[in-house]
Amino acid sequence: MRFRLKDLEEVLTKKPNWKKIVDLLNKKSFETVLEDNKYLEVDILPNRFADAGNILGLAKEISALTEIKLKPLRFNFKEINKSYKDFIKIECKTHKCLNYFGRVILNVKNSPSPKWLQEFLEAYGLNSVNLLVDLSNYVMIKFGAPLHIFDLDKIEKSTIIIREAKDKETFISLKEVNYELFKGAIVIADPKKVLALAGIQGSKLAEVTLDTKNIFIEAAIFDPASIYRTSRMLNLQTEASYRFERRVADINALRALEYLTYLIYKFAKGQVTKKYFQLKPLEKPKKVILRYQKVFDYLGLKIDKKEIDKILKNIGCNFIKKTANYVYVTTPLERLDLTEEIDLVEEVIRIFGYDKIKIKFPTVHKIPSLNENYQFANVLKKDLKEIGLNEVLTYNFIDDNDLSNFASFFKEFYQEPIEILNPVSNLFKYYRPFIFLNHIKVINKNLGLYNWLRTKDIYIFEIGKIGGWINKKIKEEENLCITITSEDLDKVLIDGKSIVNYIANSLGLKKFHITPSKLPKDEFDIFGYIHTEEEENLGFIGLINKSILKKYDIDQPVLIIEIQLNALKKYYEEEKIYQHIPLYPAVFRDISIIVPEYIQADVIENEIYEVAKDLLEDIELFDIYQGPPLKENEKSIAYHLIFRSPEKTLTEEEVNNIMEQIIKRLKEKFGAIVR
Amino acid sequence: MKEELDNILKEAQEVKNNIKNLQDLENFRIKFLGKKGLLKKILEKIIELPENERRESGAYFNFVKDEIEKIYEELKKKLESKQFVKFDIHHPGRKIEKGHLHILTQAIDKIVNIFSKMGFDLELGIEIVTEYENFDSLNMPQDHPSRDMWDTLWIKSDKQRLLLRTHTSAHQVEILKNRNIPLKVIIPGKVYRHEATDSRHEMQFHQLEGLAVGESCNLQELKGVFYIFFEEFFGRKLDIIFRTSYFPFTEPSLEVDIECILCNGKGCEVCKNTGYLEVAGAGMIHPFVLKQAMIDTNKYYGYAFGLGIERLVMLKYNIPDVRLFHSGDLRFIRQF
Repeated sequence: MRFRLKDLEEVLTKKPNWKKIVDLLNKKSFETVLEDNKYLEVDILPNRFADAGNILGLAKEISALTEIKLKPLRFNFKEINKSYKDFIKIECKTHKCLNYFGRVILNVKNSPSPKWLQEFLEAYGLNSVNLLVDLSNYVMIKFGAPLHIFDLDKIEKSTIIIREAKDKETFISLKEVNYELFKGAIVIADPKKVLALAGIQGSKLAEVTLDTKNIFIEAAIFDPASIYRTSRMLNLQTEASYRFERRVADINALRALEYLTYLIYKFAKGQVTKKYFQLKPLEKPKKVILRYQKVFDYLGLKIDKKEIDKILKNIGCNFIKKTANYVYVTTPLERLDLTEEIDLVEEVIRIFGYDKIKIKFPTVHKIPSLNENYQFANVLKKDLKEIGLNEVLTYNFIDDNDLSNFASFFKEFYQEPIEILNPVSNLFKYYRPFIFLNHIKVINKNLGLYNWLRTKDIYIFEIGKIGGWINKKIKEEENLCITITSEDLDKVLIDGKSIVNYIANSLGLKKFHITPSKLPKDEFDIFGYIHTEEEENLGFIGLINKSILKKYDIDQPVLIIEIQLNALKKYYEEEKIYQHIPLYPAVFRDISIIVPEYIQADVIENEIYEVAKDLLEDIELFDIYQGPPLKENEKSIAYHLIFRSPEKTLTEEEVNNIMEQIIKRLKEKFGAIVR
Repeated sequence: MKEELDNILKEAQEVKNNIKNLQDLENFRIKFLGKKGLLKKILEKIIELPENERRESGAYFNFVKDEIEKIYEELKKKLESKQFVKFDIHHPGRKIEKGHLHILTQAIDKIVNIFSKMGFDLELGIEIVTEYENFDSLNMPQDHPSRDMWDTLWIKSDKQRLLLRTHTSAHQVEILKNRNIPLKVIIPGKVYRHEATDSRHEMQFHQLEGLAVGESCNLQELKGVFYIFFEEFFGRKLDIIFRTSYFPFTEPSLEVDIECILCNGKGCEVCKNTGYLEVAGAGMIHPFVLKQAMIDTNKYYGYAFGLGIERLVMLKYNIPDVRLFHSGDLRFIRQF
């Protein structure tokens, strides 16, 4: 909020050194900037708006920091010999009106505002309307309480009813916009119509104009939550609603009402009727005990108790009782934020000064434990970086196109996507169900950067959260996604497979198995689930369909691997155990066979392992070929086999024997022909 | 005939010095020893000589041929041994590309290590949380304007009100409930806001929550934690100031400023001539929050803080635009 220095100086007994005040406010109260030596721009904290979001309140804060006193506010007016009761009847039918005050003034002379008032309003960002309205705004800025003036003659049957709105009731704003109300909103009405949307804005129907003669002034306290909700639902935020949401002290409302009455008496020559309406008694001051020890505990430092007392006095606390260990005080009525001990602890410490707090090395009670999930993700990231992949981070959101492009695939995993009620834009409409959807866009982006990157081989990975609805519950998981693209299809496919194996190896596993699946046929040209020997599903690998890639403006193959981190983590062993380096030499053999096309390479491998048992140390596929002179549905497949015994040097004869058995088995099982 | 052979040998000995590479040597071989070379031609003449002359010339021919072959072999040996050394040392070499970890991964790891040294455990939370976790448990009831401090992305749901965590503080109460006191925990993670993005604002960014509860937790220790953290992170001692602030879940609430690392506190564009940079929100945990976790507020105190990780990284590496972090732009990723 922006304050004129002039207005603050007017209520203080001594002109302050503003540079010093700004420094003090910054450290102890609010972020403050001195503008042009004429204004203070003060960022009043939300919990302090009730007391400090007005001229008198900020002056009080300055007074508490500097001990410059406030001038007493002197004002008086004469009341005529008629009571307000002769002119207005007020009924309150809702508990959401926390208090209500009102005055009736007769025979006012409304006019355009004088120059000083117009300038004042302009400085606080308000428009000048007419004298009466402007004076009420002036008082709001000075006291922090929004007031509302009704044209008394426009109130039907001189009756004001404070009640909750009926469903679909109409409210006509000052700008003559019709709003449809709902239950829960508070209105000020007469028996026939809505006169004001309580705490937010008055209605055109009871508006004060230059012709207005008799007026009713309202000063009220409304339920902050109700005002908050109503103003947001109607998208109607006003100076008044802003203040009511942040609470208004009833003492400020009453003071404001009396001050406005005085100003109208003085400037608009009104006849003030006797007394004012008051719905409920004023809130009593809050009584709070502050134990000195609490201040010391929070500070980590013992300070002079006298200093604590002085601070409490300066902020306006009154002492009820004082002992060696504690003080019992009432807090100022307008300080709605001071209701319990911790609030006073904060007051004392902030005014004492955070700069007086020393630095202490933190106490360490134990050696921190490692977080397994964090460690594991880091190990994976480093492993992938080591083979040249780049880690990206992407937005965890996708759009309708992403979802429809992979609709049937999505259904394999989830029932519903996680939809954002209020997305920043349509591009961020759903929480992502897979990471690869984001990666397709990253691939597109980086292919477009060929001029800078000078390569069309993009190899990226990311570890991040994904989710979707399953059985009416949100399933949130952490996934690893690897996405690779190159103009060379073979490179993409073989590198993809190699990376899957690399991950298995780096976890200390021999390999992962891949089971091809034809389910998401439309979305992927090649697709397989990745799982372990124990058949646990870890994730999937797929070559995205060409025509889908076209929709993302990509015209080269893209392969994706996505793995659930939680499933993968089970296979990670941080501690490594030394394995003996083999004592005896290995024997190398190659085998090349022709088998029917549908037989998978890893099934053949398993079969070979089964025959050779522990003597087969490793098997490595080095060639797959399809095409002439082979038949249409045949393929040739070739492996390096490495035999080794832990107990002795294998003889040629022994290895020949095993090879014969292997060949025999492959013939029986797959009809393999040895080349 | 002897004279002719002498001339050939003489010539061979003379040109020998002009042979600088294997190509020259090959030309030498063709000229003297080749199938149509000088020696071959003279041998053809020798064959046609009468018997007695032939023997004599033949012997001399063999001597010359041996000599020239010796020259050839010597040169060959010399040139071949020299050949591999021939390399322009100014050749730029081949570019070897390594992989890169995202700068945020690197920064978070560094931050985690610093806090680990100060005794903080690490926790990771979920991103989709309940309204209670994000707001109510932190002393922010429904329809309270303090909720406006966090523009929230809400999730469509029939039952419970769910949202994307707006801050890592959403895990405070859960952690306070599940852990024994004294406790010290940090929680790094992505947070989400309903916010229009520009070079300084993002709808998705990383935060690090710090949380400590124990008998000895106080503002001095909190200041110590920041002092050590910033010194370790930025690599030098930095002046730290606490300013009054407001968060519903801490009291006292603080804004933490460090001496501007760009101008050393002299005042510059980045610190808006204040000499200081706002880098964290912090405070002593509000008794309301401790009570949510049934912690005895007469015995235990706690402090909590939140750091914006992107902001720290931007300051440290002079990165001008926060949107670069989630852009996936490899020109950015590969710099770190």
